[in-house]
Amino acid sequence: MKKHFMFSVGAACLAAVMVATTSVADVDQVTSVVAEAAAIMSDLDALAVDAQANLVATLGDKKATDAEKKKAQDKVKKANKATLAAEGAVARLIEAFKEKDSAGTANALRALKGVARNEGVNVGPKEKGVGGKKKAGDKKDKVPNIYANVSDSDMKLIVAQGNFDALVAATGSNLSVIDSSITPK
Amino acid sequence: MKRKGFIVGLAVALLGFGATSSVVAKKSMPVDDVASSVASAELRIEEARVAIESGKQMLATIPEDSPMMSEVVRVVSVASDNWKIAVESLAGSKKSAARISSSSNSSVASDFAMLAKVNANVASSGAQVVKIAVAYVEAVANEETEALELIDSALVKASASAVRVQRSYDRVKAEITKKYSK
Repeated sequence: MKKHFMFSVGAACLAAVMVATTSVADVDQVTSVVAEAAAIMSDLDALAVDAQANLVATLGDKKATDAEKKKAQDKVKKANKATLAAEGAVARLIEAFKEKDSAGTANALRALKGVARNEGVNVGPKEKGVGGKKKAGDKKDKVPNIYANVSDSDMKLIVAQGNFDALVAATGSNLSVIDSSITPK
Repeated sequence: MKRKGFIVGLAVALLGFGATSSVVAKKSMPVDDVASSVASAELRIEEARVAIESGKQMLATIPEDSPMMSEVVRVVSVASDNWKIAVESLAGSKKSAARISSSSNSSVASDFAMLAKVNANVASSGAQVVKIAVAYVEAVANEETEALELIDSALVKASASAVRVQRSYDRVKAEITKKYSK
């Protein structure tokens, strides 16, 4: 019985050590979410560039049919819509990040992946949604808290290093600045 | 009995660890995608290289006193900047891709895959901008003035998107660098 107790204490200590080590891991997870969102945005923006190049090539092709030209124009519209939708998801991701809201983060990332998936980007298999309409008796979603061990100072550090500021700048709210920097005067 | 206690404790530990990591554990950067992204970027760069050769010949046919010359110079400058970025990014993408197989674990491999793929996006986007810019030069050379507005608009939008792709790459690189510099 005593040995059993000691083994249990040992296991509990091991558990404590492993949970303690998640402090660094959680920060990694939070920054991984940022990296993953940025990678998905890069896919969608690259598709938008492709659509523009395809439009120019198709309209410049004397053999191109009207249907092909329309298809190229529709592709541009679709890519632009996808980029806008993705920017919305990233904006929600940023809000969730600021609130240390794991469920919001997971949902926003899932929405971003959904947009990318619709555009044919491989972002892995569909994941189960978090939240949504619940029926009586439904179990509450359990969302792992990726911010559990991320201290306020770590969060400040992540923000201070410009992660989300740059992400915002890159994905919408500051687009006019980016546009004016590349648009000839 | 003692073994059961140990297993229960260990399970608790693993559950505690697993619960906090599962949000992002399902990394969505399939390593298989990398090869096709790099190959696609290579193809786009090759297409841009061919376009540049054609553009050079077209450029020579535009009179120096053409009223469009200043616009042509601007567009060629955009093409030049993007070409440099595209070539450098493809090289970087290949380097990262080559390190996937020699990575010490799957997490490092996945990070190299992400870097390679996003850098390949930068290369592809840059090459596409070059192609649009060359289309503009060709339109000027062929006096297809009605097409210029559309091509210019496409160039501006594509350039803006390409800048965002580069920023996303910078972001991914910064995040991954930070992860390994603790």
